[in-house]
Amino acid sequence: MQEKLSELFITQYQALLGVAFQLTRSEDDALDLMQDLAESIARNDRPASSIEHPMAFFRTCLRHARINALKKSDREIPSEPEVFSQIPSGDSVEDSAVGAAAMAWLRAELAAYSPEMREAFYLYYFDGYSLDEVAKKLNLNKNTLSQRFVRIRGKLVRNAADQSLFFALMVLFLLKPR
Amino acid sequence: MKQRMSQQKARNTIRAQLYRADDLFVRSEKEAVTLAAQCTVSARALVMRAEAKSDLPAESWAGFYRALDEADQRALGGWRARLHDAMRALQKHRRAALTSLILAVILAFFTLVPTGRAIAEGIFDYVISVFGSQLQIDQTDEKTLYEQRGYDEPDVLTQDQIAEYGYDADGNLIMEKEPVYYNSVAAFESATGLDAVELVSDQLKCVEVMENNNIVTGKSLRTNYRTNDDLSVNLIEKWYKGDGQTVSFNGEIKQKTVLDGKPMQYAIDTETGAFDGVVLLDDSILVIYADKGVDLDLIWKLLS
Repeated sequence: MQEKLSELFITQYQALLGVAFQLTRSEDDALDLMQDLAESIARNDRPASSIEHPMAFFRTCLRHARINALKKSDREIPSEPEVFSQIPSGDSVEDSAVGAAAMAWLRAELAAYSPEMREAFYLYYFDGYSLDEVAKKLNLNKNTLSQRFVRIRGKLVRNAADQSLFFALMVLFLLKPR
Repeated sequence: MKQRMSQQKARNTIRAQLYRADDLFVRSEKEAVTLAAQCTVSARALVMRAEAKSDLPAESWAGFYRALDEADQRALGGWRARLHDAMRALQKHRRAALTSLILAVILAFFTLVPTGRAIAEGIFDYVISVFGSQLQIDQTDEKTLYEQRGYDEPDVLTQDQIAEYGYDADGNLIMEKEPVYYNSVAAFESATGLDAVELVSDQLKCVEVMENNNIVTGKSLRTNYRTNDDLSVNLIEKWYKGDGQTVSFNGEIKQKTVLDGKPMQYAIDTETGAFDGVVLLDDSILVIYADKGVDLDLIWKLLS
């Protein structure tokens, strides 16, 4: 009677496919990632409750599968991601507020991270694990992680403030405690 | 908590546009979601493709197909899928469900089952009696406090008083009984054993003798006399039980000795010209009202 991972995969199919599209340039690649994930689940289809964060677990699996695929594919030809006419163009207000400059800073910040800290970043910001869970998984100091992530948030707010007061207020509103 | 929520918002913002910070990600979350919605490959087709590519036995994929069938049933509104969902929700929230069930059973027992209803009534009566006793205790404490501070003691209704007056149909304590009418003052005295003041004169005719009983102030007798000129003289005698009574006059207050040496305060009302007097007797208070024009010498003579 307990929900199994296979069932969660089916009910969250669209959401997981969206995650796959974030990681891949084409629909075929996205579907390949999803197939890999389905096979991983089929190998050990257990109750979803046996995993603390099943959706975070699925995101991690998809991300790792993509990294492995990229490592294997030395012959991969860099190409622009597929563009679909129906996708609305332009950034959202939220995107604009954070700004390209802030994300460029984040790119540099990530480049300076150790592989371990980079994985922690992915686990927290992309996969959706909590700070405690990330610290436990990677056997890292929670305070170290917290300081790094607070720094990222602070930088984004400051960057928005540099752009304009309106953007600063917008970011503060978006990031304010609820 | 606030910091955590703030971080959560930051996390969502960063996740939405990770492609700007890391080459691993090729498009924004929003764009990816749109692409996923446009993808024509169904979950069933994807699972079948994955199974075809895989070397795993068919049993390994049974969970996926079962879930796909249930999803189809759910989409068609099938009762099995709904039952399955309900059972799952029940299992997920079993603690809340069990608590609700126990509360419902207890409520049903105390409202629907005769035995339970009797128990509930017993508990209710007990609570009411305890509450009533508490009130009594509070009043007693208040009385002690008044004594300590030298105030007039507050009136405390005794159980005898409450029993004597009883409750009306709505359950409210009766504060004043229906008036009792007598043919004469003597009839009142005979019925109550009290000694009441009576004006006896051939110039006055007793037209009404009415007894009033108030749970707080006690018994009083109102006697109405008419003069030959049809003027009214009212005597109100109060066998007063309560706190001190305030007496006020609308006119110059004078004093005259009546009824074997008792000082009566009286005044002629400046507006109506009526006589208004009060005298404190041994165990009662006597109040006299007389219309303007009544011979006051007659009053003094009758009260001498």
